[in-house]
Amino acid sequence: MLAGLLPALLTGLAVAGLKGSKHDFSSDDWSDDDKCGACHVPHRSEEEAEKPLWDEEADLNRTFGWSLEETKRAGDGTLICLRCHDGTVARETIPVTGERPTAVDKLVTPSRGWGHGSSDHPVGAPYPTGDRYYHAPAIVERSGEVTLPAGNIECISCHDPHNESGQPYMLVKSNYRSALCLTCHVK
Amino acid sequence: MKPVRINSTASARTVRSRRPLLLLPVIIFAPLAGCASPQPQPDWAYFPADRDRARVVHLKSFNRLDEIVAPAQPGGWFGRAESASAFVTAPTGMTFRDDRLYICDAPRRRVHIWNLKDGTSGRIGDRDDQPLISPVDVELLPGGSVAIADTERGSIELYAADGSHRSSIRPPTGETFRPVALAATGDEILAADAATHSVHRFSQSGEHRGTFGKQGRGDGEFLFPTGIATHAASIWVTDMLGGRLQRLRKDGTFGESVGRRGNRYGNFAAPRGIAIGRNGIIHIADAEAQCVQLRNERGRLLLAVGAERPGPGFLTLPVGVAAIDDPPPALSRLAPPRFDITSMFIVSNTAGDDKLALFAIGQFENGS
Repeated sequence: MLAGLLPALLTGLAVAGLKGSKHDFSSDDWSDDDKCGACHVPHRSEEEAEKPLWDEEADLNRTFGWSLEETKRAGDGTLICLRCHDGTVARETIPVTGERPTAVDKLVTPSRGWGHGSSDHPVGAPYPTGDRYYHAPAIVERSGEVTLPAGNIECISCHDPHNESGQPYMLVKSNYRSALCLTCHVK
Repeated sequence: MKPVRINSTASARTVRSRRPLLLLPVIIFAPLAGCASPQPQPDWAYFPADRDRARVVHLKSFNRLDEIVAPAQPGGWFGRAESASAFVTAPTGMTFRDDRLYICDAPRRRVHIWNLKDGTSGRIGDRDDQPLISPVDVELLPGGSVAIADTERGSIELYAADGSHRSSIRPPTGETFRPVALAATGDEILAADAATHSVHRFSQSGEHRGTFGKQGRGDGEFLFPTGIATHAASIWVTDMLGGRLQRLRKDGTFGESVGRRGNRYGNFAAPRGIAIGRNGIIHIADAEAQCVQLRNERGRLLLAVGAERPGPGFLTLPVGVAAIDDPPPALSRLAPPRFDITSMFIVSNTAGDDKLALFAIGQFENGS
């Protein structure tokens, strides 16, 4: 009984939510107590645009970059992370251990995945379907914890940048006894 | 005079009988014309979109040297030879000089050196005795030596003109050093440090000469300085989370701040790499806005370059940019007819199918 309670106890000890997580920059002097600004670009009004000298007819209504609404679109759920987690801004990077080919990846590199942690795990790549070593997407997404935006594996498939579950490494669910891995992979 | 009668009937009959033979080559070769390799369509995209007003043209996006220049034997003239078909995986910092493009490729732990004039190529950094771990920016020093910022090693690696490793440079204090961008000025190497949010000054022999800047939002303070370049008497630094460009004087004191963080035209979302051409045009790659901002030497916005949707000229997580003041013929040939080129620049995309994107700055000749 105690063994069964252990994962629940460990989860309960974790701090859920942005506050106190590695993405909580609100206590840093530079943040101006802005919890969202480090990752999300503030929306400006048209009056705050700068007119380019080489294009008098530029559409100053145009906005650039990824919006909050689009972060679950295929690709954005990885790109927004790679903006910092590429070995420059964020120390916790996604190193690549070599040139081992990974799953076909159309977003990060052609025919090569972006290595992850101490092993290669593709991101920005199509989730394999019809493969007996992987659960069907409907099963993967059934619980709502792991998502496959537009059928792709993105960073946000396994990680929650807002840390709502409070799991280590900001995972979307506990990986106790490889539970997260087994959501997709058939053992 | 009796007219000479041409045996018209016979002639006509001969011509008629020869008609099928005359058509034979056409019959044979017409289908083959469909099998011939189609001429590649240029990937031109104009900025502004109106061709007549275009000041910048996207010429080509590519991943390999031999997509630009006819393959040549591996150079081997600098570092180790590299096959011309070698591709970039996730390019970041770049620099261009004397027809050579130097491209940092952290996942492959090397800096590619591609000669865009003669197609030779080489690489630095993956020697067993001094391998790079995470090269993210490269700068050329007087005399042909090369400085490479390695964020994982926490050092600047110096290579001599012959490709041999010379030394590693770190601040003397022993504190965490994460160099993410380099610039050379006079006899100094300037290194933007993402760990301390400051800029270090080193001599080319590695002597640490001090720092300027610190973490913050004030004048001369930075929130992850990720790009640095010099022009005339100014040092320009991209302040990524500060969402701005800062100009500093040669001594590191604050000059002015340009731009603000935001999602509108001319705002900065995540400014990263910066390069300044001989003409003073400042190129800033914005990884989140997915564009390159061009500004004049006073910091005024000229244009934001980058297609709004996938296709020619679309940039995916652009983080590096190199100015090309004297483009070799292989690059100039890619431009549209009658586009008068003043300079070029190349952008590195860390994601997407095409990792390098080449653009030309100029104008169409009057009436073209």
